[in-house]
Amino acid sequence: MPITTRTVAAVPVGLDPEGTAVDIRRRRAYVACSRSDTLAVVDLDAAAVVAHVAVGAEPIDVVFDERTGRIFTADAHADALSVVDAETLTVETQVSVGAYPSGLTLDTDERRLYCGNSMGSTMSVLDLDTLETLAVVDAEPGAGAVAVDSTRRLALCVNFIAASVTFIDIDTFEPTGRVEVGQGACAVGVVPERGEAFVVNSLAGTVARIDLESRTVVEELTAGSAPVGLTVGPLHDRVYVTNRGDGTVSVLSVVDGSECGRIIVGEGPGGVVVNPDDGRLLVANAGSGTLEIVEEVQGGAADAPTEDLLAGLVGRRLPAFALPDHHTGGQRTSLEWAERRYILNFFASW
Amino acid sequence: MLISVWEGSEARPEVERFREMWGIGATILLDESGDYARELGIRGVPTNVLVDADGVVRDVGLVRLDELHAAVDRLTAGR
Repeated sequence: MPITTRTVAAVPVGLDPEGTAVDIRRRRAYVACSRSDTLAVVDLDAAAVVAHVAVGAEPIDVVFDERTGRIFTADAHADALSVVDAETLTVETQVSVGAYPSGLTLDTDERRLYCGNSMGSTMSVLDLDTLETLAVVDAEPGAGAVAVDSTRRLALCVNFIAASVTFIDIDTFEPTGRVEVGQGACAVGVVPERGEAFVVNSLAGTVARIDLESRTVVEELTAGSAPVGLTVGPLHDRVYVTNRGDGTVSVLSVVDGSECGRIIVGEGPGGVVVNPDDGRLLVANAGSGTLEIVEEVQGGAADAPTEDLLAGLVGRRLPAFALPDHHTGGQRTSLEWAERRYILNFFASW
Repeated sequence: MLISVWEGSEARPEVERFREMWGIGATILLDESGDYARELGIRGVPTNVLVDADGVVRDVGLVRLDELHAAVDRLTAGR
C-alpha cells in the first residue's frame, strides 16, 4: 500500500551533513557535518540545534552508544574517531584507526565498534568500553559501511571502490569470503531473521539483496537516482534508501522488493535512520545542509506533491547562467556555449 | 562542462582538491549557493543536462554511464 508522509521539520545543521544517530533518552539526534568538522546536536522536540561540537577533520559517520553515553564520529581526514561525551558534549578522546574512516556500526551485545577505513582497505574492531583496538581486518579498497549479523556471527564490510562486500567472522576477526555487488557500493543493512542483507550501489543505481547463507546476490532492486544511504526499518519490513541524485527516499518492501513509496526530501540526501521511539525518519541532506524529520501520516495531512521541475526542463531552452570559473574566478555565461552541443554535469565534491 | 553545487562559501579549495583527485581538465563553474541548480529543478547530484546547438535541453538526469552514453548518441545523431 502506498505511503504518505509529511515533513515535520528541516533543521539547518551545518555543511554537508552525512551520518546521523538517535539518542532516545535525551531525545536528540547527532549529525556528522563533514564540511563543518562538527557534530550537530539536535533537540528532536524543539527541532533545533542545541550545540555544535568541534570534532576531527571531515566527520562522515556517527553512532551513539547508550550504555556509556558516548558518541563516536568517523573523522575521515584525521584517520581517527572522535569520542564525545553525550552529557557534557565535549570530546573525551580521539582514537586512531585506519586511513580515511568513513563507516561505523555498533554491536552493543558484544560491546564492539566496527569502522571501515576506505583508503586503508581495512576494518578496525574496537572494544566499546576500553576503546582498545581488538583487530584490524583486511577488506578491500573503499571499505566503508559495516553491518553485523549476530545470528551468523558475521560482519559485512562494504567496499565502494572494489564494488564488493567482505564477510568477516566476528569471533576470529578473519575474512571468510566476499561477494561482488554493483558499482559504488556504499551502505548496508541486515535483516537477520530472513538471512538477508541489502547493499546500495550508488553508481549502478540499484540495491542488492544478498542471501547470507549462500552469500550471493539474489535480486537487484530499483530505487531512485544515485542511491547512497540505507537503513532497515524497526519492524524489519522495510528498507529506506536515500537517493542523492534526485532528493528522495525510496521505501522498499523487504518481502517483495517493491518500492512502496518515494518521499521527497531536501537536496542531496545521504545518511538516514528511523527514530525507534516515534518511527520518524531522520534524513541528512548534504546539499541543503539540513536534518529532515519526516513522519508517515494516515489521511489528509500529507505534504502536497512537489512539482518535478527537472522533468519539465526537457524540450525547453536552458535558462541562461552567469557563474564564476573555478580556475580563473572570472564570470562565464551561457552565451559562450551558444550553437554548441554540450553537457552540464552538476556535481558536489563531497 | 562541470558545475559544482552546494559547496558553501569556501568552494574553491574543495573543488580544487576534487579536480586534482580525479584529474579533471574540463571547465568547472561554481554555483556555490545552488541557486542555478534550483532554478533548473535539480535536487541531487550527480545530474547531467544535455543541451543541443539551439540551446534546448534534450535530456536530464543520466547518472549511469550507459544512460549517459545513450543520451549522447541521441544528441549527436540529431545533428
